[in-house]
Amino acid sequence: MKSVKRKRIVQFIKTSSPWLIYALLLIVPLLFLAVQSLVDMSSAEESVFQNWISVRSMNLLFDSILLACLVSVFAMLISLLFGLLVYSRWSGFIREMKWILLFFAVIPPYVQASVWLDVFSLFGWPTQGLLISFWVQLLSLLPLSLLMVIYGYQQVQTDVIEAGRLLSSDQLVLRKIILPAVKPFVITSGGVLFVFSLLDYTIPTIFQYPVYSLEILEEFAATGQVLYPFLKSIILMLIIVPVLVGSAYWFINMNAKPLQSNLSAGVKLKFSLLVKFGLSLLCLLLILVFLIPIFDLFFRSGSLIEVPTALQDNMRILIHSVHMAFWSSFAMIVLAYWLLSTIRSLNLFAWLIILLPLCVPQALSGLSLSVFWNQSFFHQVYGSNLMLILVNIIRFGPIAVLILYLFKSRISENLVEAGKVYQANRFRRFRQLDLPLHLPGIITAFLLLFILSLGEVGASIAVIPPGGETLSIRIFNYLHYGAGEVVSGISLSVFALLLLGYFLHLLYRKTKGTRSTQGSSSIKTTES
Amino acid sequence: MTLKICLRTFFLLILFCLVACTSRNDALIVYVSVDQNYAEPVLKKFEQQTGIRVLAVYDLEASKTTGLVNRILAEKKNPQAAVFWSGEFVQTIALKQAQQLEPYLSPNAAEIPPQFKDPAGYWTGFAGRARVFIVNTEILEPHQYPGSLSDMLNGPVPTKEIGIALPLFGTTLTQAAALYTIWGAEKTDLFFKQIEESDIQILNGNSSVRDYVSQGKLSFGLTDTDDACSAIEKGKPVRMIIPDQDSLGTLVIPNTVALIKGGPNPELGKKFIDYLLHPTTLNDLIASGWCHVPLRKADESPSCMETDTILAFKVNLDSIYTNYVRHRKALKQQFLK
Amino acid sequence: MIEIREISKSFSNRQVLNQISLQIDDGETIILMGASGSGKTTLLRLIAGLEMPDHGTILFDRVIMSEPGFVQQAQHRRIGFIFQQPALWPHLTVKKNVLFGNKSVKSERNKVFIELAESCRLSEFINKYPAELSMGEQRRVALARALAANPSYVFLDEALVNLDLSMQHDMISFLKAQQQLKGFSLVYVTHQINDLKQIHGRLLTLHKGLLVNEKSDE
Repeated sequence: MKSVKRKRIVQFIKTSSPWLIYALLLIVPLLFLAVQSLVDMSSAEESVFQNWISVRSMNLLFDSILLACLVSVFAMLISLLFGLLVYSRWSGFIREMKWILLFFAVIPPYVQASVWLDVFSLFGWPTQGLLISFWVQLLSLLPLSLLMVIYGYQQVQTDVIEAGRLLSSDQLVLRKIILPAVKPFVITSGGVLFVFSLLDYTIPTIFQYPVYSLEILEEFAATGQVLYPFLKSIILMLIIVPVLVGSAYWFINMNAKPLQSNLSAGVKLKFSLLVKFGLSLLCLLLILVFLIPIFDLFFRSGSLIEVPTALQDNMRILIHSVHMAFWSSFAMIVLAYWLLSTIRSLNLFAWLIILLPLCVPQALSGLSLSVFWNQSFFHQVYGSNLMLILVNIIRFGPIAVLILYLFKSRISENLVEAGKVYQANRFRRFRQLDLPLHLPGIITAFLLLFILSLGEVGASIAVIPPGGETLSIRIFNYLHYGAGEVVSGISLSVFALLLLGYFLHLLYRKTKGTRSTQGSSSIKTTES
Repeated sequence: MTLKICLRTFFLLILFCLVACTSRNDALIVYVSVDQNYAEPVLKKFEQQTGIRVLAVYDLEASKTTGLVNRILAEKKNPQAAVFWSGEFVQTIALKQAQQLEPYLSPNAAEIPPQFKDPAGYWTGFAGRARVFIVNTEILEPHQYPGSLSDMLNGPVPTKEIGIALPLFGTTLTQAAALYTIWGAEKTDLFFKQIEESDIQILNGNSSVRDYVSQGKLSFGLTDTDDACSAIEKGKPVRMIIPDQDSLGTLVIPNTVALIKGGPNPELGKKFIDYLLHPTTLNDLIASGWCHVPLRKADESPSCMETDTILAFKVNLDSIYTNYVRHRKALKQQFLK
Repeated sequence: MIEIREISKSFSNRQVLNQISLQIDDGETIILMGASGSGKTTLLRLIAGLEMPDHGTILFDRVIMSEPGFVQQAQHRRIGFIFQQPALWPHLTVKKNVLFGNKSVKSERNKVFIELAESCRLSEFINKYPAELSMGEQRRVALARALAANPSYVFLDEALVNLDLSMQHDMISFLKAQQQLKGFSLVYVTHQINDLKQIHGRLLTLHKGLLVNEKSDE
């Protein structure tokens, strides 16, 4: 009896440990801040509540929602068309665009901001206000939307499409079969981008577009008290929580299907002139969006000779930023994997808890970490580079859980259980079965988290350790000072590294392709 | 195969991590509330000359000095930084009042006038800036240029073409506090009430005012000399006007430097303060465009200033701080509603 | 009539079909057999216009429908294709799935649907979605869908695997009855020799992309 009881306790500790760690890193700091705010509330003046919902705040909220709506609508449209462009197999180059744009996604949003500031200025377009804020925010969030919609297109089974093609024109198949199948993914991506746009204050600040989430930071800066920013955040979260949790919950609960590599295995889909025109326009737009920043950077910096100098000057900060992004992503993956290994499925309430940190405004997230980890027993942590890692965890940890859960749900339970039956040694089972099975999800999650961590500024500002400035924070600050030369130098370094990474990736794909055609003796069966 | 590659990459990265990790024990940590593009070269030069590694935290444009000061206050029990270098003085005095500073009388502070330093040595002022108008010369004719703060409300230029930073942070708040000291509460209250009720554009910061005026979105605005000078040096169609030079003068805001109480490596901090107060650094700050009112004899003179002499408010900085504390809440309620 | 003249097809340097020639007459039944990987499905997909041949031509009633560089769209070939997986559209009801390819007027469509629903025993599932049906029920819907479009040719690509014998028997009987009624040609792909007991027609065997055997099923 005793040993059964002991085993149960041990089992309970094993199961609850990752949840406790998740709570400590992501939820407890927010709760701590909430509790402190409640304590402050009891001694607060009445005027605090009078100014809680003010005309100015509501105007800012309206402006923020307007920006968020514009970003999400355009992102949905572009993602929908882009997915169609890539998956209807127009040409090899178009398919390559997918990789080019995903590499493009690694560019921190503030590099984008600096480039487009230049471009807009060159054309005499307004360099402040809604238009440029919308454009830069759209470009910085677009890769997220693209990923979700591409996933949606990959879910549409080719046999379902072909069944339609046998009975109807490709145009009708597009309208009645493909688009309805992809629609939910598009709408979800719109919801997610709406939320991310609403939470971001950094890009609108660069372009002097006042948004509600900046107010939260300003409240703390002006008063030094947590109550005021906390109260301001509540209103924002009332909008964000249902949108984000609803979108995420739907996304993860739809039936996972085998991923397709394109919409038509054989003969390409034929569209109407109007659709072709739209796709061509999109293609042109995306090429311009990619080429313009490169030309601008090289033109602004003078020449290619500047690249090594720029790299040298910014190498330390580049390495540091990559370092922080890498370890943040690694920590998030490990935690998420551990967490998900303890459960089979999660209900809505569990998802609400997991996703809650995603709904918190950036400034408040940073503030909560600053307040929580500045306690005497955490002295070693506060002021160290760990704070930057903790910031990334609190900001993006839920995304790690979401992605790994999505991929995990695609793995047949039989495979996992067979492993348990045939392979008793846990470490070997992990190494030979679990890890390979989960690898696609781990790699996808790692790359996305790395990109997001590299570009994080909003919450990091509150907890930057001395000498711990990251690339994005540096660019963000220098953009405010109008120091274009410094920014362009850093941006050039980033671009150069990304292009190098892309060419290495191309080389890898080419050699992988050559190896498989030369050395393979097994026939890849495509048909019965 | 994939697993092998993953494991090998992982171990390589562990090595990378070990290489990249650095210790902070021998470093000087400075919290800097000065524009990073001006402060960084000074810190780098100090590092090169002394061999002392400097780790800095800079403030954010949106939250100004108050954000960093609140951080110092929050770190009371566990101070992270040795020195606080600010682009103004009010928040530094606030830290002194909160008993967050350690007195240090630098030998290099001897030539600085007494009104710009704390008598007990808790802080020292140096390398000043002034509050000025930045005027777009393509929009306004010379006879339309503002000459006084009162021209913002009663001048020939429509109020919707005028800009000011939100008077809740930084030098704008400091100027508000100075006005309370010079004009008195009633006149200043009325002034800001009229500003808030008018069409005057309330922007995020001084750099926003500079940008809006430079781009022709506003005719003129209130900003600091460093912002105005940066626009002039970039060839923007703007000019700097120092207000009220034939009456009360304008606010001169010194940079301040102070030793943080309980901060790590205080001896390094003192060396840094000495360096900052040295005439060579003053010349560097003037040459870089950060300082325009030297407060003491300097070899360099600011290139963008049309005059060497500025009539400054004759006012005690501590009394400005007192008014800052007394009136900031009311200003916040007025402008954040 | 469908004429297939010296059709060849490769995937990733692997020859799947090699100079296949055959003719499918109107109203004829063909049983296409072969081991897995012999090219059966590829041949059907080429005829249906879902793949482009590397060599050769495919003619429908002496009109070229497919040749290297040109493929007439699948919808113009009047083929009812029943895949291995039912391939029903998850967001459409059973009725909408079945009537998707039927271009008649509304009254005619309803009539067609009622007939097919009765024949395929789908009357109680009209407003249900595919996810609510069993595999057998889904296959009946797929069959009804193929027939609702009034095809000239019906292809079954191992569509009855994993069904119990009684269900297979019912569906084949139904198909034969429909074939008698409507006169379409039937191409039945299988790798199970037992199926020959129920379906009678011309037997073709594919082996490594070559047509090696052609005889009547007797």
